[in-house]
Amino acid sequence: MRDRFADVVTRALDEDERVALVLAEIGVARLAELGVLDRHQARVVNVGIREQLLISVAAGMALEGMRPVAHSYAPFLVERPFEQIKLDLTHQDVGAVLVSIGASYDASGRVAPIRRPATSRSSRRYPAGRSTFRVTRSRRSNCSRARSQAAAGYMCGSPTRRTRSPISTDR
Amino acid sequence: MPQAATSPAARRARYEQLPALLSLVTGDEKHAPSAHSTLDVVWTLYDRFLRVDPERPDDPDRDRFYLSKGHGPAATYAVLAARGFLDPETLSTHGGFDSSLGHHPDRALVPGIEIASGSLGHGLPLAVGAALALRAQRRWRPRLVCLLGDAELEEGSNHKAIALAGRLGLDRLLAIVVDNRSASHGWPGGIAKRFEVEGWTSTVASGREHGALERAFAAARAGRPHVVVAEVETS
Repeated sequence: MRDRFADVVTRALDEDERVALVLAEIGVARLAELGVLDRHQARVVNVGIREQLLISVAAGMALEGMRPVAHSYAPFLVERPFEQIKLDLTHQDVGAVLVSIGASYDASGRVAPIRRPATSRSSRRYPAGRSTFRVTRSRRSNCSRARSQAAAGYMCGSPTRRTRSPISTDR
Repeated sequence: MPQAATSPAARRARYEQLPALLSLVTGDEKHAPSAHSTLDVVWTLYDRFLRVDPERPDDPDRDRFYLSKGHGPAATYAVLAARGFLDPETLSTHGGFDSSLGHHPDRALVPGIEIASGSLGHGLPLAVGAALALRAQRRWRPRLVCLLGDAELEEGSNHKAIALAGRLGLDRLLAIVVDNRSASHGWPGGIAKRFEVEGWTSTVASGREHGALERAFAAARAGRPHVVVAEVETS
């Protein structure tokens, strides 16, 4: 998932100059390897280990018309900065794409429970107000590993539901 | 974009309208402007510093004013009315069921309001993101001004923003901390020091003296964000 995310977001940055990527250390090394940090210096921001700021910076960029992507482990992306998602994105009526890793399969073999999200997928859809907020699931990034697991009946991004195919559950 | 600046007498006359406008917001004829810690700071910003135009509130090259201390918007509403962003008559609807002027300001409803605010500790982090976006878009003219309070500074989210803005040298960013000594645990060594250590320049000024505030706002230097600590009386 991490590699696939790096590939997909790199393409997005290359193709659309409104796209910005905000990171909180997670993912920086891989993107540096790909040369993205140098190539898109102004549009890729690493805020350090500051996840509230991760979301606020993405929201501030969205206020200025950019299309930010924010990325980290699921609990750091959603649970720690929950109020920033609610107020800085939703209440300002701006959007961002939040891409998690570790929500379920993509890192389940090596990620300790402390780095997994406690919330269900439905509760992560909670802070919806004037704009719709949805956690981006790994399938949307065309994650090959998630795909193979999807073929086995799993819905990517949700460890609890197995019955529906990822295609039909996409909204 | 036209600045409001004209003669000192005209300025004074406009400033003297504010108590009447404020009383429309508060519904209290005796409400002295001194009860509003931010009034002179916001007034001086709009009168002497911000390049904004009520005719073009969405101009991409305008300066942005983020009222982070959004739990007390009365002074800002009054100044926006004095500067032509709002019809003074709407001030008296403040807080009403169908009024655009809520107890917390809403960017989607009020021209001239750049962010919805009221919960503390959100304005400065948003301003850092906006400053980065303007830099990425090579839009060098707009300045980002964020007004916060000394007690609001207790929110940890501010300190993440202070650190990053300083380290990245976001020199279009101006933070103004209105200090009425309302932080329960205080700031030993001073508020300005918290910013300086992260790479900001700073000026401490009286939050009631328009000339001193104007000079303090303009004291920013290239390559570094700037903070003005505006000291007002303890409420």
